[in-house]
Amino acid sequence: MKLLIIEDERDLSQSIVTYLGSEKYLCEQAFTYDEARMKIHLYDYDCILLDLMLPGGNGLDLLRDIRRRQNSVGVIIVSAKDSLNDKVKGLGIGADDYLSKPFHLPELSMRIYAIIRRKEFSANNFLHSNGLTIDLLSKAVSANGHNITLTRTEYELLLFFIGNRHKVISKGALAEHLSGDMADMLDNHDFVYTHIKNLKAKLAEAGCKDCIRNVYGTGYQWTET
Amino acid sequence: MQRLYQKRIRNRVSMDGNMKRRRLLNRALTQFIICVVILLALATPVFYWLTEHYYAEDMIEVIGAAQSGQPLPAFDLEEYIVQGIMIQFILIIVLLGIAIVFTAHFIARRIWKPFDETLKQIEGFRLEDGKLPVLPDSNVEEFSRLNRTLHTLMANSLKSYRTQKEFTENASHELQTPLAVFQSRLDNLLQLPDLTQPMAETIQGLYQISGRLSRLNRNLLLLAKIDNRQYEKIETVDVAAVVNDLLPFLESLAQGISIRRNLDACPLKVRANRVLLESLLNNLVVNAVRHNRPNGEILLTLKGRQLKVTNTSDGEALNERLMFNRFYRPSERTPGNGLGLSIVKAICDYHGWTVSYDYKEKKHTFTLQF
Repeated sequence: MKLLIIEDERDLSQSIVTYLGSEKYLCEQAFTYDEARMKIHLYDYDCILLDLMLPGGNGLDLLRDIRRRQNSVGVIIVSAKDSLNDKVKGLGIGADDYLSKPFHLPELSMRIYAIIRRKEFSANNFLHSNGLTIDLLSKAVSANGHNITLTRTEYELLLFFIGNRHKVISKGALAEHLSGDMADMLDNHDFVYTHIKNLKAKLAEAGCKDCIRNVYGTGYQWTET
Repeated sequence: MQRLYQKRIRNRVSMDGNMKRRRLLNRALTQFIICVVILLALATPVFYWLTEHYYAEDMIEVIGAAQSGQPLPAFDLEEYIVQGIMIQFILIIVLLGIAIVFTAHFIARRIWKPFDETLKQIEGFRLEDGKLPVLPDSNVEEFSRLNRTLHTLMANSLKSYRTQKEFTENASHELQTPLAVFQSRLDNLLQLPDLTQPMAETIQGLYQISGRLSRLNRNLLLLAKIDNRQYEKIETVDVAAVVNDLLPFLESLAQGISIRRNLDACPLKVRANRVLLESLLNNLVVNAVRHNRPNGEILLTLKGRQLKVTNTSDGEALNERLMFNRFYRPSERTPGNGLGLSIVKAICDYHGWTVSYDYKEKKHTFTLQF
């Protein structure tokens, strides 16, 4: 999988590369508008992370450029300006997703995973991990032939974990993923613990034990055996 | 914007240059004198008639008699003269009086009219509207100066108000990227293979700080955007439906606190920005969760055009004068950043709703009047 990270803040770009690079992704970086334009024209990517405010030009113009050439690459806009206008405009031009800064890397990784999965395996709607089978269309989860009934939140959690397999995910990232826009008001992430406890119990009951590891009370990790 | 405004000022100045302006005193005096002259000119026939009727005729008769040596006519010339002069004198005073009243009443009103208009314009001026009133030009020098000064004054206030508002928004935007860097570094730190317990605890502490920072920043940004009127999309929203949508998640947050709802059967439709309405309700309910007592209760009541959020509490009544202020926290142990209620207030003001607060029998109640 080849990714292009178009982001002028080198520190942030490097962090993203470090996080995603340890997965199966091959990351390339572009720090300016012209550099990004050149790379888009020369190479093919599976997914592009696009910052809107770039030195030398506007990210939306790059997006138009990509879509004009019938390039079906997945594009996630990453912007510091979380204005509704930008979001609507970006998605209108053909971005697949929109993430406003600051974001958690697991959230980004999960969205990239979702986009690549949609593009690459459009015929295959099943996810497998640790003996679990997840039907993404009917949102049904089963293990060893047994159905597991999950609440919507638990299902979201499970997908989030699988999108970040082997990574330690902080409680804050989980809380923000679950609460969406409401996260701005929450300073207490205890509710995450309850959901994880329930999910763990249901998985254990179906024979998937020790999939979710608690890392010193700071984060959680989905381990595949 | 700035350039446009300067251009407008230049236009005004050049316009003023073409107009012949005079001082207020000169103008009033000139008009008074013109008025007196016109009145006196109009009264000339009356004076002529008085003179002729009272003493001129008689005097001619007396002089004629004296010249021809005939005996003087038998009437009191002295009395006629005194009478005539007195009548003329009174007439002159009356005319002057009329001139004064007329000048004071009509002419002064006409001269002061631009001043009245200026007053009317600046009475309606509000910084928040961001509109600069157009002051009428005047041919009186003092008023023209006043208008120019007022215009500059208002334009400057407007400019600094705008700059200040934009600054908050820009500052919040600028902070997003460093916050993202900070947070992403932490996310990577957590992946280190030889992570130890003390390291994890430190990282957890830093996460809390970064979370607090980004929440604070987003809340400030929300306030700035409401102030800058950036939530233009207004639609018809069913309040009860929004409450019902939000409640499952809020309940999952409540942790032992029960949320009951008592929603009117007939739907309440309001014209609102959906994002803001959701934010308003979230803030009120999260607030009610935060300031509740363990195993307490929250009651949502929708009746008529009123929504009440009531929660049980062990605390005191809030200070109604301060509670909507930004960063107001009754005590150092209060959770949250002190922006929740100011966001509630800002959203209510934005839509023209009112929010009121009541404390009875250890229960806080916030009432929204749509």
